[in-house]
Parts: sequence; structure tokens; C-alpha cells
Amino acid sequence: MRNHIRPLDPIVIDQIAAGEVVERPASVVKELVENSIDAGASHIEVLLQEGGIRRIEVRDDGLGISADELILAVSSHATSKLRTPEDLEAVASLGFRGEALASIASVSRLEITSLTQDQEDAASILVDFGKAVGPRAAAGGRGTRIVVADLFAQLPARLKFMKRPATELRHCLSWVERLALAHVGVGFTLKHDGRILLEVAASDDLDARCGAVYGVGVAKNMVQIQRQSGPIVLHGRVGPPESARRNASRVDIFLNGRWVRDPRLLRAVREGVKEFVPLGHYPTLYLALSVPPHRIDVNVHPQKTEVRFRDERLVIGSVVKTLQRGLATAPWATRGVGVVGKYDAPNSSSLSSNLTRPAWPGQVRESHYPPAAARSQPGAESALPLQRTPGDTVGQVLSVANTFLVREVTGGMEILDQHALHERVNLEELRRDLRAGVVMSQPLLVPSLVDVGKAELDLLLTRAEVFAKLGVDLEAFGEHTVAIRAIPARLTRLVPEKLVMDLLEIAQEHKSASVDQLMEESLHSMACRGAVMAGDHLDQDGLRGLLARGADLPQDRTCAHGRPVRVFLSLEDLEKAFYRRV
Amino acid sequence: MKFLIDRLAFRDALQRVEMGIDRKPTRPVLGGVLIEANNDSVVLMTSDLDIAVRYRIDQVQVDQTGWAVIPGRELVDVVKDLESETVTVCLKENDQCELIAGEDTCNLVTMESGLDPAATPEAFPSIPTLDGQPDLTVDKQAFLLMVSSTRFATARVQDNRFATEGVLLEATDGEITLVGTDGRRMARIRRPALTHTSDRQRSVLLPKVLDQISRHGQDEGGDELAIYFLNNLVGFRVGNLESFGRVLDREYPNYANVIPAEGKHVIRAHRESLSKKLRLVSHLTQDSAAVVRLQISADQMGVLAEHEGRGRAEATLEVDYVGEGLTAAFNPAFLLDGLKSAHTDQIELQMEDASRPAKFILGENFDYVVMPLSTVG
Repeated sequence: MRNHIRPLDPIVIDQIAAGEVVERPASVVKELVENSIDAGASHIEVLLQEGGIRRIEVRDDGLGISADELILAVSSHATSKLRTPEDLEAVASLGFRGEALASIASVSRLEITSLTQDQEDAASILVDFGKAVGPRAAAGGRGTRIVVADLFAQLPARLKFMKRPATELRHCLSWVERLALAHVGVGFTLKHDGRILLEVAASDDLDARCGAVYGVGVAKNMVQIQRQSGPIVLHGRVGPPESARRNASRVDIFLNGRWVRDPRLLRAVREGVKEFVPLGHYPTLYLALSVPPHRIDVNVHPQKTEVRFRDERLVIGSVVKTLQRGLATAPWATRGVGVVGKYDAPNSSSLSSNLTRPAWPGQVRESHYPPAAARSQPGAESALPLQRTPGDTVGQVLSVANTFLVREVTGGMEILDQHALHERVNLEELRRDLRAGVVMSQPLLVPSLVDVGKAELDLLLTRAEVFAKLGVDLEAFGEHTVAIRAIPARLTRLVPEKLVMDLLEIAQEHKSASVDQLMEESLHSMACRGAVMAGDHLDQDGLRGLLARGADLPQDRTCAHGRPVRVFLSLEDLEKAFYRRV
Repeated sequence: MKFLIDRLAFRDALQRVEMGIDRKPTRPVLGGVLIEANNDSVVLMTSDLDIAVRYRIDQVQVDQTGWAVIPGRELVDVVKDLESETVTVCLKENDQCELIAGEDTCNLVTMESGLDPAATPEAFPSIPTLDGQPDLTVDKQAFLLMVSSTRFATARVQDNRFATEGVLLEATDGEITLVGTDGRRMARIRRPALTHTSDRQRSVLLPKVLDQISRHGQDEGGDELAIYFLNNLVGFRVGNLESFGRVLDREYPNYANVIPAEGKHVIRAHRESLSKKLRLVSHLTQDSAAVVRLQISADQMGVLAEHEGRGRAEATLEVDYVGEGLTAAFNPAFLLDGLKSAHTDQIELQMEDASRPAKFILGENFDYVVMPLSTVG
């Protein structure tokens, strides 16, 4: 039998559209709370039952919807936020498509009760899976109260995809947390089955909100980052390395106040924190990006978590640089990570007072690197938990398993990873040489020949100029062979052939990388290759030499791959461990 | 298998073969020592596939012939700490090897064993016998000096992938040449052989076997060292010690092209004073990127170094030089390595210019070539 083509029933259209906007209770919560924010609410309360599957209620004290607009509010493509196509070019409100309420109304029992400033009595409307009843007079205070009950109850196909209430609740909570972070000045309360899960007062500042969302301990040690490059303004908070996770669940990026999850931005985050957070981890991150609305397109996806940038490179580049620069002077060291005792915030540390004044004349050596000191954040001052000891006064150093170095430092003891330290030392020294333009290269007696594929050879040669700046002199030697004429003088331990294989790998992995990026990657690889390995024996002179070099660095808390270089145990930590202190 | 052996002789013999015990054996048997009790002697053997060592002990009293492979590390340590003058080693029926020393007894589990001396162990690598005329014989002291003069210049990696990890051993018409290089510097030494049966031989040896000979060859009797070029091994015999080193199947850099015939600038200096000046200024170089500049002018050499942010050092020494002068940058560690190995008090430096290899003549037929550093950009 032939199926005739005929127009769809409007309710079915809304139900299909709902699939894009409303996929689970969390999306309902998000849409409703965003509406409340757009309505200028100062406090928003979200009440959930069974993870929102049974009932979602959102109350606000915003502008409200007048009785005669209620019916329009639940019909599709009706919105107060856009009027002309030009408005779409510069969307500043959270919602604008006019889809959300209609979509939700088509797949649930929706009740809206609202009172505007000019009205005397509240009005309400009930929409039962797309069929509207009302409006009629109702009781209620100023603002809007929306109840969404039995979501997807009449759509078994969608109901099937709902997860356990606990899972759905977690998603709802995440959305309220994100919105609470993004909208300082608006108070939020989230209750589940009568229990308060999140409470943020309208007067709470960003730090308080970070505390509520990420935990007070993490928030206290978060580093503030800030930067403006051209029209792009960034500011954010980065959690200490120990709060890093293997997934991006604690990465919250806001673009003009809208939470976004963009793979390119996430990649930029990973790149930016690479040296500070273990490989493959994401930091705890709050990052707010302000980009003029006409430079981005948020109308890519109905959920608006993806965006397009007019000048993507600029935005991505700023994110990477902001994170890198901000963290280079981060006050949190990796001390106390997973060890006895807790890391004291610099201000409350009983040691900090000792550390702010030089313990011996030689300590003013810091002045060789004024930029590092000058860059550090206010409030972090020199209460850094690092006690830097000039090389010539380093006391006895104990090597454990030819891998870890233990030594006494002012106020406690320090354990260092020799490979990580050496790697960091190499990296910083390489960078310094590069900046100063004094890279020394070691020409080889006989060029080393390495057989590579034709394509590989071409790739290496196109990047040869970049490598040359680092002291690596490469040349084609026939069609399938590359000749290495010189290598960086620093890498005295390295076999030239190995270096070429490393560089080739880097060039392949970063085919479209900029010159700077490629250079950085190469430096990282060279720093690692040129470092002593765990298990390599170093005599006392070697140990002292390494530590002395470590003391000269602007950044020596993590190795080039983000693993910690040093762990500090304060006397207090030790006393606690031995129950000398309660 | 049962024999009585002097403990100290046993201990010393085990030390000779110890380097062949694989510390991280891929097969358990490579971590063992093969003990072979023959009618009039006991032979110890070890092999980690890179090196193999065989050592014969004559002062033993063998009661019963046989052989056993015993855990190497444990055997070495146990024999070191035994107290008696003699040790009785005896293969028991339950696959254990018993060591009786006075009041004390140790039982070590054997990995393989047998009573028939003609039968050979299955899992233990077979080690060739050095029969017949050696390809070369050389004065032992001369050879040990050759090793210490080249070994330091070889690359310090152990990957078995690169020719520069090895030492080139070459014999041409009765002259033996050893070459070591890591690409940045190269040491070459030549000495005549005492006897030679083949005209041309060339092998790139993993340096471990040379380290083993340097360490234990001195204590062995006899003034002569015999060299056998085998298939993929080179065998060395001195006294009762036979060592075998694996040959690296890699193309070794052509050293003849590297070592300049002579240079425009010829400087003669006192080895000890140059070393002292280099050590002095090295204190003001960055540890990993150490650079010293040699400033050569008439009868004088300036040695300069600078560590950004720390200071600079300048030392001067008298040299024997006539010419227009020259400045070249070097890694001081490379120079000091060479000077430490020099055979003579006076050394000679020959250079064409600051960007070409500098040749140090550190003794008779002992050349050391170092590539100067250059600044990028």
C-alpha cells in the first residue's frame, strides 16, 4: 500500500523538535533556568523529584509572563528575545530560538503560573502533552513558577533512554552548577526530594560559587588567571594539579555567559595546562570568555553547547596562552600531594612568615629573574611553598633507588624526582638560550644518516628551519635518507639518530602546528631525552649540580609533562605524622 | 658432580665471570653460572648474550665429573661470605647443588644439571672454544691501554641499535686499531700486533667485553692477549680467562675521513696545566650546556667561560704556537676526557679553523678528534 505524503500534525512537529532540545530532565532544567535568568530573576529555585523524571519545578522572581501571552509562550518559535534576523547576529540572551517551552510542553504535563508587575492576579496555563487548557486565574506571587511533570510519560521510545534517577539528578545538578557559576548576582537553590543540594546566594561572589561547586578545599587553592587580547577577554580560576581528573567533568567554559563544550576549546585547555597537570588529565577549571557576539555563532546546535568562532585561531590561542602564563606563576606547588598532612593556603601557613624574608644573604639571588617574581599573583607573594637553596649550600642529599632525591630544606624536607627535575631544568634552560639567542650546536664529526620514507623526509625538510633554530642541522641525503650534521650542544647524552626519530614523530603529530608550537614540542622532547632517567646513578656532585640548576628556574614544580618535580613535607606535616602535634 | 676448591680461588673465578650474569634475564638460565667439573679442572661459564665469559680453575680436586647451572647472583654472594678455606661443591639428587664450607651448608637449586661431561646443557647458550691459532696476539698491557684510550669516547647508550655504541676493532697487516666515537669526538689508537695470521679484520664490538677485560685482564698471568675473530663474536684469551663480545652489525663511521691529516695551526701545550685551566673555568659554565672558548695567540692560550647570571672566568697558559691566532668553542668535558687519557705530558693540538675538527695528539699513534661547537643563527 502506498503511503501518502501529508503535512505533520503540529504536536508531532513539536515532539520531534523536542528531541533536539529536550533529551532528559537536565535539559528541561537548563532551559527553564535560562528562561528565568533571561527574565531578570534574582533568585531561582529548582525542585526535583526522582531526578526530575517525575517532577521538575522552577520558581523565579523575574518579570513574569502576562496572562494573554501565556498561550503564545508555549507555542513554537515564539520568543521575547529576538525580533529581526539582524538580532540573530548579536544574540546576547541565553535563549532565542523560541523552541524550548513548546518542546517541553509537547512531551510533558506543563503548568505555568506567572504574575507580572502590572497585573494583580496571577494566571496559569496547563499544557497536557501539547494540548493547552487556560489561561485561567490562579494564586501565586510575582515571577514565574513552572512545573514539568511526567516527562516523556506518553513517549515510551524516549522514556526508555532515561537513566536511573541518580544519574538524571547528577546531570540536573551539573547544569544548575554551571548556571550558578556563569551568573554571579543570581541566587540558586537546588532541592531534590526536599534535600538541598546546592545553595548559592545572589550576593555570593565567584570564589564562593567555585567553593560551592568544586569544593571549598579546591576553590581555596585555585589560581586566578586573566588576560585580554584584542576583543577577547578571558578570566578564570584553575584548580591545583591534585584536583585534575581524567575526564573534563570539572572543566566549565563559559562563552559570553553560556556554558559550552567545544572539542577545540577542550584541546586548548589541555595544551595550556600540559606542563602543570599530568598527561591525559583535565584541570578543575572555570573559564569565562567574552567575545563580541558578532564574532561567534551560537546558533549551531539547538542545545547551544557548540559554537563557531569567526577567528578561531585567536580564541584558541588566547586560551592556551592565558593558561600557560597564568600557571607559570601559580603559587600552589605540588607539595603535600597525596602525602601526610594538608597543604596550607599560603596566607595561613605558619611557615610563610619565615619564608618572606631571606634566610641568608645569598637568597637575594632571586633577583636574577625579576620577571618571574614580578609576574606572580598578588597575595601569593613569596609565600610560595618552595624554599630555594643556593647550589653551594645544599646539604647532604640522599638518593633513593637512584630515582628520588631527599634533602632537608628550611621548614621541612623535600623529595624530588631526578628525571622530572632534570627534564624541567633542561626545558627552562633551552628556552632561556633560545630567548637569549645563544643556542649552541654541536656539529658532528660525521653526519649521522637515518633512513626514512620519502614523505617523512619531505616533512622533516619542510620543518628543517624550525629545527635549525634549536641547533639541529638536517639535510636530505638522497631520496630516503636524512643526514644530521649538528645537534644541540646540550644533549650530550643523546644519540643523534634517536633525535631525528623523535623530531619526525613530533612533525607527524603536529602537522598543522605553528612554528612556535612545533618549537615547544621539540623542546619538550629534547628536554626529556637529554635528562637522566629514573634509575640512573648520580654521585653527590651530580646531585648537587642538578639541584643547583633546579634552584635557578622560574618554574620547577612540575616536569614538562605535568608530573610533579618535588613534594614538600613541612615540619608540621612530619610532626602530625608522628603524632607530635594534634 | 663433586669437587673440592680453594674458597678464594673460587671467589676470584666467580668475579671474573660475574659480568656475564644477566641481571634482568629474559630466560632464567642467562642469570646462572654453568659449572663444569672435568677430570683435572673446573670451568665456570656465564653469558647474557652480549658477552660470554669462560674461566678455568686448575687448583681443584674433582671427585666426580658433571655440570650444573646455578643461580649466578646467589652463588657469587654466598661464596663471597663463606668463611672456610675450602668449599666442597656437590650435585645432589634432588636437583640441588650443595656448597659445604666448614660448619656451613648452602643448597642452591640448579636450573639444569648432568653427570656426563660430554653432554651439554640445552638451554644454556653455547660458548665457542678458542682452539687453534689466534687471528692476532698483542701485548696485554698495550691492549689494555688501547681500550682505556678509546672506551671513554663511545656513546653512553645501551640500545644495541647504533654503531657508535660500539668500539671499532680493526686489524690490518699486523697493526691493530681501536676507535671509539659518539659522533661528537673520536679517539683512535694504533699498536702493532705481536703475531697475526689474517691480514684484514674489522668488527664493531659492544664495549662490555672490553670493560670486562680491562677489569680482570690485568690480574691474569701472561703478557699476551689472543684475539679470535669468530662469526658474530670476537673472542679474547688472556691466561685462564676467555671473554667473548657480540659484534654490532652496523656501519661504523669512516674514521679515516674524520681525522684530519694535519692543521694550519699547531699548538703544543702542557697536558696538566691545560687540564687545570679547563677545570678552573668549567666552574663557570652551565652544567648541561658547558662551553669553553680556547683563545689561541702567539705562545699563549686563553681559556674562557661564562655562566649567564653567575660570572665568568678567564685563565691563561703558556703554549708553544706561532701563527695568527684562532678562537674555538668546545665542550670542556670532551677536552678533559681526552687529556685524562693522554699518554704524554706534552700534547699537540692541530686545527684548520674554528669550524673543523680539532685533532689532539695525545701520545704515540693516539689521536683524539673533537668537533668544536658553533652558535646557531
